[in-house]
Amino acid sequence: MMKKDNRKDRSLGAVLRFFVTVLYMSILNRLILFFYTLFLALLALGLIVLCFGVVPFDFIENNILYLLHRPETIFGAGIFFLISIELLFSVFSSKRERNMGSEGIIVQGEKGSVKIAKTAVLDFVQRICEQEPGISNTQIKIKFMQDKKSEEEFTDLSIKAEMRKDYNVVGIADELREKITHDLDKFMGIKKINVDIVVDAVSKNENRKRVV
Amino acid sequence: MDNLADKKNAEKKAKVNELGSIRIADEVVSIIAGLAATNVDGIVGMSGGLVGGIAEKLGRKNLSKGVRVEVGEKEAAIDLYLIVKYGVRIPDIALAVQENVKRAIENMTGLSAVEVNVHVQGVGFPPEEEEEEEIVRVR
Repeated sequence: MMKKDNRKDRSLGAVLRFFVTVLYMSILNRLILFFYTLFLALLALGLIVLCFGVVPFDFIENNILYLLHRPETIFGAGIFFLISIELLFSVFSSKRERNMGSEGIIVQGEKGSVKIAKTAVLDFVQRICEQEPGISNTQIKIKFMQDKKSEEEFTDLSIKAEMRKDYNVVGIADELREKITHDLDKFMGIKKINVDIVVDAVSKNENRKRVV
Repeated sequence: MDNLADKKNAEKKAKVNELGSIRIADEVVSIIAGLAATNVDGIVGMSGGLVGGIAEKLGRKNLSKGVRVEVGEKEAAIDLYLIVKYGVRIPDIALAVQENVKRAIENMTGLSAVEVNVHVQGVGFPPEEEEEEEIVRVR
């Protein structure tokens, strides 16, 4: 049997977690929540109007009976139910990582902070990839993340590339990963980096020699 | 009325003495910070964004481009948006920028630069040299 204090703490924790989750919800979930609460507000307003007898109850009753026999009502109720489940899920699930947005902090000192934009890191990594002879047509994605528990910041780098013929895929990928990690630490001060390299095709373009 | 309100907004610091008052406009602080930042070796330029770029194309020089300031009576907080040179160590350059800007603001305006935040927006690469094509002679 749980102690009363523990139960109080847990319910308070759940309430706090709800508000924190709403703050850090994704944009899509926030949009769904907006329309959901708007609908509920209109429903509440409608009930108030009914209670004050502004609209005759018979009118409402006839419309409700009409709607209950429509297939669209079942469809609408189903959608509403699924949205409720989604919102409940997003309240109680907690992601371990937080997206820091378009800038990552590399130094936080007395004089101020030093932040680096995604575009700067993208250009830098793109340059490194161009210098690698075995790959071409690279697509790079960067995310600046923070672990919620430890508040440690890290960078997730995802590279999609085409491999040129006669090159060792694994060797090139390892080399590239090492070079990117080393250069980002040396030149940008970005220490914790997860580099994911996906080679999804063999490049058709080759460097052709001019024949004279 | 508008002019009075503008004056209040733009000129935050006013030192009053027996001779009169000294007011420093926000833009002055921006220009000093911008020039101090670009004087550091390793900085290619300031990042002004889309509006700044269009204004420059139309021939309008903007010395406070890439600088945002918040000026109080005795203190100032500065945000700088920079483009750094490829191959330099960014944390070292950023520290140099912070020190240079802080010194310039404090020496020239008497304001205390409590915060100099550096935002690196891009990396400037040197112009690529044309690669010589490999020529193969066929006999």
